Amino acid sequence: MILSETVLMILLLICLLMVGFTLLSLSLSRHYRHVTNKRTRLTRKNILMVRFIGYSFLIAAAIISINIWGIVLGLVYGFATTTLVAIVLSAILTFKPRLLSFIPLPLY
Amino acid sequence: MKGRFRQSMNWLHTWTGFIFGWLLYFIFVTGSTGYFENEIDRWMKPEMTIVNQHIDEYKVLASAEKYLNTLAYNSPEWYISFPAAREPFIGISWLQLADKETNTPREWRAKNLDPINGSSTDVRETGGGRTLYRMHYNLHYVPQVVGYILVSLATMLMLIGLITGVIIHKKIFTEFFTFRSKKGLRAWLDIHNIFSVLPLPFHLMITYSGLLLLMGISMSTVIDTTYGEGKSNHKRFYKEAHSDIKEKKFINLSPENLSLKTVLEDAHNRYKDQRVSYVGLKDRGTKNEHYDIWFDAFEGIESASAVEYRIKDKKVEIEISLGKSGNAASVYDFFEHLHEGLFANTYLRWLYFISGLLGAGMIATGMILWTLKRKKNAEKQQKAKFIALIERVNIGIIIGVPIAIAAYFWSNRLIPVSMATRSDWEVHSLFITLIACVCFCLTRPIKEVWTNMLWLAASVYILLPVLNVFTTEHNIISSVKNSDWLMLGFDLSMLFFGACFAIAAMIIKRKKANAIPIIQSTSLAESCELPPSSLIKEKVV
Repeated sequence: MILSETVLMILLLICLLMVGFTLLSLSLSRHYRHVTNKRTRLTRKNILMVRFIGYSFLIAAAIISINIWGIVLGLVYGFATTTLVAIVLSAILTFKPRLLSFIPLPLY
Repeated sequence: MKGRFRQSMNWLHTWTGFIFGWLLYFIFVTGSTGYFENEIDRWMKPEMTIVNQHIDEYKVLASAEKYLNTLAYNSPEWYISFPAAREPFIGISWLQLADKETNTPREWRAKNLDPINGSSTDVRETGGGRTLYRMHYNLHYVPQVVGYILVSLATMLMLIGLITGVIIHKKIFTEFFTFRSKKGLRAWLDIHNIFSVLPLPFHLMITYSGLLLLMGISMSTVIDTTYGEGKSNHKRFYKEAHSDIKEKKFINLSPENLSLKTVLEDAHNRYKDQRVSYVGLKDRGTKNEHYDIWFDAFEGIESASAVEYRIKDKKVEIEISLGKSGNAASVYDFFEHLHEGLFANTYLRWLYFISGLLGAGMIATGMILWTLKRKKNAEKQQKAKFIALIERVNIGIIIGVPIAIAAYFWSNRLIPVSMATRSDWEVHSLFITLIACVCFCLTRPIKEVWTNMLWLAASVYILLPVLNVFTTEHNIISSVKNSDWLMLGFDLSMLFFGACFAIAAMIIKRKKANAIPIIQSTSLAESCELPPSSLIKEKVV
């Protein structure tokens, strides 16, 4: 039972960080262009909004992982998962950016 | 001023990385294998009988004691190991004292016990995972102190490289995910940044803690001034600095009854939710005879704790270690555990391993960048020749180290089991292969070196599980049947690494076919120009 609980928590952490980092990457005009395939960019206000939501997800992930595993192991899990998520995301953004085009942007 | 500061940092980054680049690459790759020490050990000791059923620990203890009584009756130290998650075996080991008459040297001996019929198996002599990962700080052939000093120096320069790298990387946030794969030199710089920035917490942690772990050598003069020079004085320092806080108490057990069995019973009763991994009997036959119990608990960042049983004043006393007494030693301990990652579960272990390989990739791409940047501007023939030489050795090391590690595994299966010095020859084959790889790269036409080496690496890794089928009774199907997950995991990982090398070879071949002169024709200045798409006037949404 303990194992499956850990697995669920790891999956939750991966999801939160994935969403957070995806939003942050979309707030950068290069990646936004590649994903949406439009020659447009977000307004300053939208960029700030997307970044705010993105960082909120990251902070939520940090709080949750520290709550589950304690400060030291929580940070180890957090940083390790960040590395994993960021590597996957940069591969997607480089080779298959259109995979992320389902995300409804601009949000506001 | 700012520009000049960045420039000088750039210079420092380039040359600190260059000096020990090859050594650091070797350190990162062999160090990363250390996270799978037990898995590698299992593969390299195919004779071991795995335990995948419930066992009666007391029965095991009794049969282990019987063996030790006949095989190691005069040995001062006995150990009995019980199955743990990553070591599903029952083993006995003891210290064999030197005997001039029978010409036996003083050495550690071990035997594996069968869980069902209690018979013992001799396991082939091998360096195993331990020798492989220890290379990353003792460099194997050089005297220990020299190895430690060299690795300390390399680690120091690595730390400087990391910090200067962060300073000179102007767009750490805006280019966090950026990899412009079709832009020649720019692509190499991007991939170097990705390998460095994304696992940066790991890189900083592993480098800083690595430096800290070797401080006994790199800062030995500090110990000299306070404790005096020489081995015995240094030992005194370690004893004082690393002393444990210990809780001592007498327990309700009569001294006549103190035996391996009662010690195990007491430990089980005292710590109901812990699994015992080792029972030891130390200083046998002396006044100081005592028993040790270790637990298989790496739940937290702290290492497994131990309990000691001894007879004192005709009563049985136990001693429980509760961590280090000094603050400095606690910090040291903390970083040591963080570096070794023994607490890690499968998920964290793989991420530790991947981060280590990304670190190796960071060093490799750094070395490649060094040659690419200089290749274009090398006016003089001599300089161009020198850079071409470095380029070839680079390839020889970057792909040669993984091939050499595969050679270490191959030699484990191919060297006769009866050969006395076989574990030495396993290591020799690793280094001979590495040298052969570099020589191979020096002689082949430069256009084919990368693909040749990658195909070679792919084949040696993919054939490892095949070799396992022919030289042992293990194969992927039998491993699934016996739930021998460590053996299965190793074989599958080797296939996976082989596939990665093959894919890399195919990508390079395709790229060459499409556009041959990308790297040569793009200078850094050109490739750093803004991409044309950014010149298009953007509409604001």
